[in-house]
Amino acid sequence: MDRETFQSMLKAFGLKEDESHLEELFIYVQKIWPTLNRIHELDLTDLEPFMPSYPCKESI
Amino acid sequence: MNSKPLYFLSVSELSHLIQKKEISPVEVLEAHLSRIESLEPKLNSFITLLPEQAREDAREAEKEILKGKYRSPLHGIPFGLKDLYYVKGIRNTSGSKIYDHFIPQYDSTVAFKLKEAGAILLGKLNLHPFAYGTTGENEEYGHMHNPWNLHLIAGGSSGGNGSSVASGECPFAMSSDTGGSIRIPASLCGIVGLKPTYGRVSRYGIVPLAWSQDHAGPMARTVEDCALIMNIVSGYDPQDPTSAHLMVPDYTQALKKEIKGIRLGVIKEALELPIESYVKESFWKAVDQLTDLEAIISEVSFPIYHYGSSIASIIQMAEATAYHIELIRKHGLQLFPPVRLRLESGIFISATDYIQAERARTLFYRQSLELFKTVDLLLTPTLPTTAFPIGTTSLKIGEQKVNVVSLLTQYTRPFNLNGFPAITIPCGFSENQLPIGLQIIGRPFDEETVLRTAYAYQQSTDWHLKRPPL
Repeated sequence: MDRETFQSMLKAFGLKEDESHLEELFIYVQKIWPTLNRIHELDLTDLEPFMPSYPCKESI
Repeated sequence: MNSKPLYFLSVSELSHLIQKKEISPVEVLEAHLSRIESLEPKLNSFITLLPEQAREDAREAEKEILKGKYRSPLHGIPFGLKDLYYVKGIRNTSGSKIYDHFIPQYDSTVAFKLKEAGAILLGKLNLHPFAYGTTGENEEYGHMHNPWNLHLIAGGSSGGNGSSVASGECPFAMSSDTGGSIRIPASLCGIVGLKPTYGRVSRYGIVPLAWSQDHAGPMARTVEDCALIMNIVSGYDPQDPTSAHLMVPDYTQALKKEIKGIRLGVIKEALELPIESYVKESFWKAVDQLTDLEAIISEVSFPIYHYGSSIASIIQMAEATAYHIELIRKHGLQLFPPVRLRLESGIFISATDYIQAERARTLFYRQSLELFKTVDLLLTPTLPTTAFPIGTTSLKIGEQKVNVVSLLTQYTRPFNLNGFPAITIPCGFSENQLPIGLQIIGRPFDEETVLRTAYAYQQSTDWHLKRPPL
């Protein structure tokens, strides 16, 4: 993510940041991408989002 | 009469004596209040203490018991609540001064159940702000300190729970766990912590961190105590949309069965992660001990295990930021800086990323269930290290420098992702006398087998009987 996109997203969320914190956050956010890339390595074909299904009341 | 001081008796021992009217809830309470008074300057376990209300409740419990109205095995037993469990009329800070004056108007389901059971609330326990951290550091209410060495972390997020129970300030405490917040401080402080199956214990009235990974559970000094507490706090709650419609067994009965022939799987991939050699050694000794109890050990492969933390952290970041978005907008500057960074960074997780992580979670869940076709329980160390100095941000293990958040959650977080029950029990000490934990993981809603195995191990060892040098 480039700095311009980063700043416009913060603005869209209504966050006003001081310069020193902005730099720290920008560096921190860069760590998200390797984590996301790990997920992209997985074959998710035919998989739906996780929806826990618990035994219904009648099974008590 | 037991020769241990009252504040080091277990819940079960106290309960037995109270029921037989050999001691009064008032005596038990005063012993714990004195212990708190002498230790709090060192430990900083509590944010809010409630001595007068507790005294009133203890006198009432004493009257009821003398009249023959015995409510439950927790009647007259003092306890602490992590300061994100709502209790009507008592401030709830979530570990942040932003909420220093916030008074909830209703009880969390767990607080209500414990009140009905006659347990005596001692106070609200310190935590990593908003439960968003693994070390138990809190600049606003003061850091939590490890009773085994006051310079070291108690662990988080429920550091106050860990330090208070290990030191004898509380016989038990209720906690929450989104990535390890019950099991991390329990392991670092040398006590027992149970994260039940997702849906087993109501989350109603507990400030969320990430809805789909938050679990409520007990911390105590023995497995038997956790079973007793689970009998009270478990069960369906219509106020929690993810609460499970299932009968609750008597967990204390489960402890009586032997573990001969039980199949235990050691996760191969877990032991490939960075780990201190002395922790690994204690882990294998614990496995040997379980073998001596005639459990059957095998190695299992869980190929997606290494992806678990990544999947869980993406989901957690998005959910935590969604819940706290107004807080970030209005009070961002006041937040503890590491917590602020974590909360703000969740903004950058797109809806697509979140859904992809949830799809990966389905895969993780399926593979997790598959493992249980060949074993009854899984085993890992709880943590790859023992407690370290407050303020540490990374540790060198072997040749690898690892961030402490990743390190402390590498064995715990995957079981928040699938919601399976997991317990930590003490299984050894390092050379410098710091506790080491063993994690036992079960099938969904099979806390009975988890507790039974943990109990059998605990009965055959004495790690849980060691006390910190305070």
